[in-house]
Amino acid sequence: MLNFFKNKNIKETKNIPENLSKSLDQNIEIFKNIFHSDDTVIFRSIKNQYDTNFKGCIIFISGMVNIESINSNIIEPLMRVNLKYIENSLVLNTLKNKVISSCEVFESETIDEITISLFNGSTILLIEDSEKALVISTKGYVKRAIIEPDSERVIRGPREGFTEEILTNLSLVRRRIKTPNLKFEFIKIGKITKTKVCICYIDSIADNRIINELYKRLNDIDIDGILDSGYIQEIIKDSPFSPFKTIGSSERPDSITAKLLEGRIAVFVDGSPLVLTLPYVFIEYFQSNEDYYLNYYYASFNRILRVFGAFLSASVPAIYVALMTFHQELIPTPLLLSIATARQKVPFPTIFEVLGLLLIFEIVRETGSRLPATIGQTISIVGTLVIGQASVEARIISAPVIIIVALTGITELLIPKLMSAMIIIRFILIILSSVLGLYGYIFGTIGIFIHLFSLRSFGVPYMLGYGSIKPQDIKDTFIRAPWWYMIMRPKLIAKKNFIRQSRKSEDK
Amino acid sequence: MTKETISDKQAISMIVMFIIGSSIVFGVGSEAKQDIWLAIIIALIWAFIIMFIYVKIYSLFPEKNLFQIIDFVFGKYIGKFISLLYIWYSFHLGALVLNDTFQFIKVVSFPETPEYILLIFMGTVCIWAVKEGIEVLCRMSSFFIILLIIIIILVSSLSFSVMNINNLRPTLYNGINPVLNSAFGIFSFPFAETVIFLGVFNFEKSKNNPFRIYYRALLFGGAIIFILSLRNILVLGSSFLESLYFPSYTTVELIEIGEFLQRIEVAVSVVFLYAAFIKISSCLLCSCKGIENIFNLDSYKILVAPVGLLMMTFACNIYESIMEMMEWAFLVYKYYAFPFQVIIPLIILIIAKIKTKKQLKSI
Amino acid sequence: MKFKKALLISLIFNCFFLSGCWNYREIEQFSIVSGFSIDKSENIYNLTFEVIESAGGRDKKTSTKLISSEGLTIFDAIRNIIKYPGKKLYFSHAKVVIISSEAAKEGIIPLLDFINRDIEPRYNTKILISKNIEAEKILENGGNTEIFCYSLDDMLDAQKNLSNAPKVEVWEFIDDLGKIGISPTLPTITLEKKNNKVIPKIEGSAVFKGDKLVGYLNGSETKSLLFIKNKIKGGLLTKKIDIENNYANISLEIFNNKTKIKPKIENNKLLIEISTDTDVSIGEISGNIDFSKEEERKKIKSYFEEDLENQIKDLIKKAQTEYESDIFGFGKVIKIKMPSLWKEIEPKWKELFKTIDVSVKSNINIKNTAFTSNPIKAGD
Repeated sequence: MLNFFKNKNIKETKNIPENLSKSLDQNIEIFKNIFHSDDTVIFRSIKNQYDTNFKGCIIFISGMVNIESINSNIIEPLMRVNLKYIENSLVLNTLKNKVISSCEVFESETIDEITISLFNGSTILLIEDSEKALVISTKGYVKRAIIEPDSERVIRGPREGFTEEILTNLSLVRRRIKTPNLKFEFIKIGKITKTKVCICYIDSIADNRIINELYKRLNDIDIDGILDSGYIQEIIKDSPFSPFKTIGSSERPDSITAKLLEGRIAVFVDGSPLVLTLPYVFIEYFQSNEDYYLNYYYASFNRILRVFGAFLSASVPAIYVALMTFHQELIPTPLLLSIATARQKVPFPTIFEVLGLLLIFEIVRETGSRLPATIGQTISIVGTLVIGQASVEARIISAPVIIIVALTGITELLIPKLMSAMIIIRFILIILSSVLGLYGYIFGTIGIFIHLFSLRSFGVPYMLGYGSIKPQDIKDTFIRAPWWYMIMRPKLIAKKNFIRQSRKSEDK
Repeated sequence: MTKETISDKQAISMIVMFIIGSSIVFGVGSEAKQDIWLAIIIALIWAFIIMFIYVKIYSLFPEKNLFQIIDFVFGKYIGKFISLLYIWYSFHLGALVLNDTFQFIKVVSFPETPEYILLIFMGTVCIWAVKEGIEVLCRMSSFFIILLIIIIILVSSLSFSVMNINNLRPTLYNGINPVLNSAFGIFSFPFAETVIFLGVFNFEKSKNNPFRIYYRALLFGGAIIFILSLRNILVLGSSFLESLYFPSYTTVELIEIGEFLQRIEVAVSVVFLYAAFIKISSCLLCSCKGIENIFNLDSYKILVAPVGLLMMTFACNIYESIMEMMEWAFLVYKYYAFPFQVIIPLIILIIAKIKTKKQLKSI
Repeated sequence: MKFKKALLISLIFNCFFLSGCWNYREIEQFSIVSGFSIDKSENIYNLTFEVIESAGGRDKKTSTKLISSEGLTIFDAIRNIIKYPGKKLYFSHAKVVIISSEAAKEGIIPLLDFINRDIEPRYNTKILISKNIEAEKILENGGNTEIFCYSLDDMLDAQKNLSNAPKVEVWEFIDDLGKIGISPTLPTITLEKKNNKVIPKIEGSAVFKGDKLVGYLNGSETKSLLFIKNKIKGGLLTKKIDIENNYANISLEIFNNKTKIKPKIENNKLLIEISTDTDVSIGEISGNIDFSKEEERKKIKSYFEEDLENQIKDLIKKAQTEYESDIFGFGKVIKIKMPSLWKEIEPKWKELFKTIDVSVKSNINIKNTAFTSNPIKAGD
């Protein structure tokens, strides 16, 4: 990787003219120079059947192009069509308009532009006596099929997922929103990778200030390469040191569409199946696109379950440590007795038991998530047997701690998106609890809330919707209100256009 | 940074949290014995009258805070002096509540932990919150208040089984005097302490309605204190209640429903710490804003850490023991606070009225 | 700069890791006290604690052990435990305190101050008085229950089905003690020989005057006391009845009781009216009375009513003459119902109580006859 960048840098410093010259040989020489020691670039010279004066050369990068299309749409017409009676100056134009049967052809004279189109899978046609080259779109590389994303499975709902190819992704969204108000604006980011990034929003809903802010931040990016949307997510996020996401991401076209309809802005990055949405507020961690397709009682129940799960996952070990080591008076007597029995002859203090076991859990989780499924099973068996059974039998760890850690782990997986922030919060709370008991825990939660409430995502308060008891404000937070009730869009995000449904539909 | 805006609802919840503040755990007006409910109502009525002064001051000078108003009303030098008084008042109040907090923790749970450790934790979160600004504080309190109300309702309804209506009778057994006396105590702590908020909020004329904010907050906070005090007296009875430092804590300790629903007094600690956090932060914010105004600084935010640290040191050394603290809180405080809560605001209002009238005439 | 940052960070970490030991204590570092007894001999307090010992391992078992210690004050005695091998005691899960009657006779306030003041013992610890025996002996003869003090706690809870002993928690006792116009009572516990085994028995109550124990009430007197205090939650009324020479033992099961105490001035004299209203069902009849008839039921009813009235009257008499202690809280009632009168009589209430007139009116409603309508008949 590092080597690759180095080579490129050397090349860029070489003296290369900006524009094409008239001579075909010279032009070919220029490109051969640019692509020296790159054997994937193919140079193919072409002559015409009728016009012996015609000299041309096509350049393309093998693997990036559709060879069949080059053969039948470029090479064959160029060889077979009679070019004899065409004036020299009009050749290029004629070729473009009458000979080459490709839907996207344009003329270009700047070498830079030509080079980039080469990388995008275009074929370049250079001809003698012309300062311009034809750039013919012959894109044709192997793509992944549209399949259901593994990370966001649903029981009910569309099974399409984004792929790595940006245009395919855009088409998936376009197919769902059929309005000219849906805007796609491309920019290129990355000095070397020149990655295509598309900003997508619905003009009549999205807030212009957020769009402008996004542009400002994107234009400020100065990086050599963007390999995944994660790069952008981290670079343009609001509080860079916060463990919480202030920019969302999804692999599902339907959830991206829903976010666009709420007035959010989507950022597509070429080469990444994860599409970013912003602004992102805290409650979106708990929302799943499936919530909106299922019965609203069930969906609300799931929503509450997730919020409760997040609370448990963050707090259970900390509260356990606090109760066990500071506040034994708060444990009901029978429970205290059974825990006291379980803790007999365990050598470690509770705090180290909990911290150590949580660490082991994280190790098992991390190992399992990178391994092929077959080996993953082995890991889980080792985890349960060795750590669970054996350590309790051997009285190295007390049984209640295993239960606590298991509960923490399971509830953590209830909201996979929140996992990274959760780990940090949990450890902070555990350490505070081990110092000051429940009071440390309370101070810790106050601190976390201060942080959460001071966060903003592109000017929108992160904790939007909390601290309110008006039905219209909580309709999509802890519960998922029925669709006929969700008349308004989220207020601070969709500033321009609140009304989601007209009042008429409510009257029915 | 955009200008900090707060909605009425957020301001109300912040004032309510402030009122609940330390009164929720220390209990108020125990000298009124079984007539405490009456004392609270009387105190509320007095508070409503005093609130009128505060609201009037606000409506005379929209978008200004207390210190700017004082500067305008009293001129440069006397104004600075009176500002200093208020800075002292809020600083001292913040230190008091800070002291309350760690005394509570120390007595209830951690007799062996040195107090400065507790102070550092509590002080740090307050300084942090105030640094983040009034908007964060407001939004936090509007979130916490829901949590607190749920906890209060749940816990109070659980103590129904140990309540005894006879604890409220006979009414006015010792005459009206102790009731009025304790009403005065309740008035000065916690209701009229809301004078601090004159220095905390800069309301926007178009968005906020100070009248609605103050009165709703007072009604709401008063109702919570009323319910809690009533609950305590109904459960504990007046003679036992008087001997306790933390009646709410003991009340909840007595709840025992089945083998499992018991020992939930930690709920009181949670409510208390959240509310005390808001109260200390408001006091800290008020004194910082005052100092900012005196020295014409651009932003109070650089002051927060030093003032907060001073407050922590002060809180640490202010009382020798909890007995001294209780004596101060229930015997001296109401007289000490009276000028700040009633007299000076009244003077401000009168002079301001005269001055604004003059201004109108001269135009 | 880097050095400073590193120093700061290490300081903060130190703050966390060096600090965690002031009130940090693991469960196994102390012994959980399930209950304790207080004896007093010649100004020295003698405390015995029942301590829970849990043994880990495969066959998890909890057992108890008794530890005793003495000291000049209760707290002193508790701290003196440290001299002996063992762990620090932990009182938050103590559920029962047994106080010897000898110690209680000299005043109970010094014994309870520790429980009231210290944060560890809880206010809903229950108090028992060991009648005519050292409290220590009770703990020693705990029998074969797993944790004796917890079973005492359960026994006190179960008393609501018998109503032979009051259930008094520390806070209630302190509240009653502090109030003028009511004297507290406490349940008593004794040892009884049964099948060659000595087992503890909770029955009756101890009467206090001020903070000093002055006498005892037996089981049925205690039931009357609970009737007056409106604290009856259950229990039986049993009596041998004869109706036209038909002898039968009848048990009525109490479901609900409401007692009203009303002070009144009649002929310039203070009169206290007690009226009880009890819902019962016929729980058992061992005899040959056909109570499906209205008449018979009325007879049963009036028998029981009369009996209850007499019992209550007897008890009041006893309290007035023998103990001179207002265990019923008549003074409290007068204070609530007639505050102006109470102000007058408060200083001389102690004298007045001895001579106060009481009228008792009982009403028993037989609501049902349990599962069957008639007694078992021998058809011959």
